[in-house]
Amino acid sequence: MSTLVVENLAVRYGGVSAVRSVSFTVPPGESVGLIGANGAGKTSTLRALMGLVPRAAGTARFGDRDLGKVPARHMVRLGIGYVPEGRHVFAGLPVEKNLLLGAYASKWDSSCRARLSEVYDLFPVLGQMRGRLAGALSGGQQQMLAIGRALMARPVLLLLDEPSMGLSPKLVEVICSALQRLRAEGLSLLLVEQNAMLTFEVTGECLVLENGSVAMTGTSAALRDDPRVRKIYLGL
Amino acid sequence: MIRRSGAAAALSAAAIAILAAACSAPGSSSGGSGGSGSGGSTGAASGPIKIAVVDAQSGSSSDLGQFEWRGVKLAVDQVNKAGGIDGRKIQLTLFDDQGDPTVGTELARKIASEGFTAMLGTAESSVTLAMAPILQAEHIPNITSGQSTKLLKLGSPYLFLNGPTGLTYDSTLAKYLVQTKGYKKFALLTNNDSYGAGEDSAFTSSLKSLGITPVAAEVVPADQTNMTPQLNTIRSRNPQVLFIGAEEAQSGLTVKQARSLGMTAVIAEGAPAGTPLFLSTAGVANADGTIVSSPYLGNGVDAASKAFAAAYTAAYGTAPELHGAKAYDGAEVMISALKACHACTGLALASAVRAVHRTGLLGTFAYDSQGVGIFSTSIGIIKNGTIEPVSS
Amino acid sequence: MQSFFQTLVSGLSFGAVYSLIALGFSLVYRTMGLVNFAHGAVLMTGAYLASTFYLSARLPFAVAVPAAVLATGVVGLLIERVLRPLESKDVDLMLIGTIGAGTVLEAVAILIWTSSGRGVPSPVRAAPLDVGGVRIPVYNLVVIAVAAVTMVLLTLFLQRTKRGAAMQAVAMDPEAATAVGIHVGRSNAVAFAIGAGLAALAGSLASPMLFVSPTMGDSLGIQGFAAAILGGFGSIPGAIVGGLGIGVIGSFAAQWFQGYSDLVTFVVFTVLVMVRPTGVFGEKTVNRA
Repeated sequence: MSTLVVENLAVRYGGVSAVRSVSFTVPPGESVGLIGANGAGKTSTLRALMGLVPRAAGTARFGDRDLGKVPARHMVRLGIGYVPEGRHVFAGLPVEKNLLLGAYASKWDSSCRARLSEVYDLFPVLGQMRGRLAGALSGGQQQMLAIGRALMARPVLLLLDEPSMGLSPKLVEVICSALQRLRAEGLSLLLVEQNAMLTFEVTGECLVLENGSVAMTGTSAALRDDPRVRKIYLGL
Repeated sequence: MIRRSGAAAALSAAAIAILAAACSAPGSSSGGSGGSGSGGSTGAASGPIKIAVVDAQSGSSSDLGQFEWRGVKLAVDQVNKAGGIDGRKIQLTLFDDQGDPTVGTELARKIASEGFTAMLGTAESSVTLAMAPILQAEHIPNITSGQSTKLLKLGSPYLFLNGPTGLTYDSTLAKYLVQTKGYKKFALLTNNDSYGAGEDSAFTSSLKSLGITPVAAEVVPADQTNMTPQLNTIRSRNPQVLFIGAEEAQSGLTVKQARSLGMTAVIAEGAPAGTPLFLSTAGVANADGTIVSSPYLGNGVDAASKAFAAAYTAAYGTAPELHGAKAYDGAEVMISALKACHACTGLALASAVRAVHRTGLLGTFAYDSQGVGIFSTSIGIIKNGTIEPVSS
Repeated sequence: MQSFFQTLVSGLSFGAVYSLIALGFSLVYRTMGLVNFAHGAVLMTGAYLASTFYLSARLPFAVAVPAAVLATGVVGLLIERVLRPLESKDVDLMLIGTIGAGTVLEAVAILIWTSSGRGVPSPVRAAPLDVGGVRIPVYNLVVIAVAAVTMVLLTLFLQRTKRGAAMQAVAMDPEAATAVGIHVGRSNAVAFAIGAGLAALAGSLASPMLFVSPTMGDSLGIQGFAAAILGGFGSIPGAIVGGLGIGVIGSFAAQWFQGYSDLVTFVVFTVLVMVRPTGVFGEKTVNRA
């Protein structure tokens, strides 16, 4: 079982710092949230972890593997799944093909088929739409598809980038229940969100990012009751 | 923010550089020693005699250009080895006109400004036509392999042909087919470049003057490689003879495709059918029985052509064909003229060319006022891959 | 009536060749989002290799063609590898790179084989079939059959195999594809190589019907490109329909308009594309993330 350890991560685009120095750990079976406003550096943190953008400084380790030495396409082999911001489903392919491609790194055999059933069990609507082109799905359905796709590789750690974006409260509820169910099954989550409430419900610990730096950390329960957090992020 | 990568810039610069290098610019490759002559009509009294050879060295007619260059070079090497003209060597410079009349005109100006005495080439009437007015204004005599009658219409005293006109090819051919062989049903397939168009009008008018109207006449673009639509139309009219007016490769393809459609008509054509490229493209079996009108039927026809072929093969490793022979003859005519007038230039040289009387590979040269020196061709028939003169 | 069918048969045979060319364009576009301007030159390379294997090495035609396809596929891999650094930066730069690659291929072909060009005798000796006065060269039927089989195999590859699905996924979203473990560069290399192989197959099959020369890829490439657009760029059935369409239109245009056949073909093409810009099987253009 591997722990994700991030130390002093920094990300720069040209001359602009998106992430100045972020450190956190995600122990196995735990869930951590990164919340903050737009431009706080949340997405950049995730993308740098995945190797999709280069790190300017800092280290990231998963178990005994230095993630800096792992190319993005090998992340899935380490058991790290990725649900990108904006869904990024394969729009021209059917739903089932999208899911199967999630298991690209392994054989498409009976164990893969079994996993497919599990995903349809988690998101029944995907099972109903399995033959439809992914581009024809609604925003909420595509979000479920993106999560399902990442689950197909049996990850131990799931990185999610703003899964609630653009979804109605009802659909956010659906996503929330799904994530809670996955947590209960032992999956680690690193959840990046603008929706603080959702994050507090799904994670045990949270970091609040502002302008690329960690402004606050704490358990989700404590942060939910924090007056500053309530005012800025919950509008209360 | 746009990320610029050094790699991207370097690679695109490399791509552009490769593009530029691979594209050929109208350039020259010299075939002799250095030494600059002065321009002007009197010319230098010493130093090498500069002759420009202009032909397509790139593009679709570049093989013709190659054959011509070799023919000219052979003649010039022979005379230089024998001492040159009054002790002066002839210096050849080869220019690539890319088969393009616009490039030709640029080259004509270049030749004039760099003090060339004369020009040999081009093999394409359209390029020669474009260059002729400039060469005339600059007083540079030109012996060309083109055969279009349009060349004569220019009325330039500096322009000479090294072979018969297209009309001669076709009138001789038409006479043989109609009067000697008695054919009555003719079809034409010609292309739309200046050569094909010239052949179309020349052969049609030759037939008309013998009282024959063709049963079919189709035109194809010069770069078309699939002639079956036109051949279908022709086939439905059941001609006895199919006359082709196109360059070697397209003619060969026409024959091949006609035969694959089951057409059995006799193929008749001018000079292009007498070339190895025509034969290899058509296929030996398909080309059998083709009637060829050409002043140079082959390398073994007489002693002169045998000697020429031997020398050509020794120098270049391949056998010569019509275009090489024409260019050789043209060069020999120019050399004779230069010898006779002691390396004169300008109008004097042009008059010297006109006064040349010699027997070359293509026949006996006797130039008229229009610049034509040969007035007949021979008729041959292709049998088993070689051309034999017909017994008439 | 006989003349109509004769023209139709001729148009379908060339249409099969154009379909293969269009298929190559469409595959590369569908998987890499790239219009490959070297496609015509690759076709020419395949034709020269096949004719060299067939004429000089005297291999049977049925061996010469696959050998040429494989060899040209390797050439495709090389081109992709050279252009790969441009791909992730800016697809437009890679497009310009393909223009350069095409020019280089043409120059190399002239160096190796000279510019004369060569005719290739038909590998089928049998006399043409005669169906009610319509002459059908047997070789043309062979070409149509080979093209049909190839298209079926390609469709099966894309729809039924993991690699085929991955190839399409890379075109739609390279980052998401990377996240599920697909090697984008390798997938593009294979796609490009298959595209090159298709071009080589088209060129090799066409060489006995036409004439192998360093510039043969230019006009064939344009016909194939037009076919791909007509059928819907990126669509496999579109490539087939478009190819046959251009072949038949061109054949009838040559029959009725002789020297203006090219002009007519492209006027018809322009009108059809103006009426339906996305082509017969109108797929939206593939977006690169």
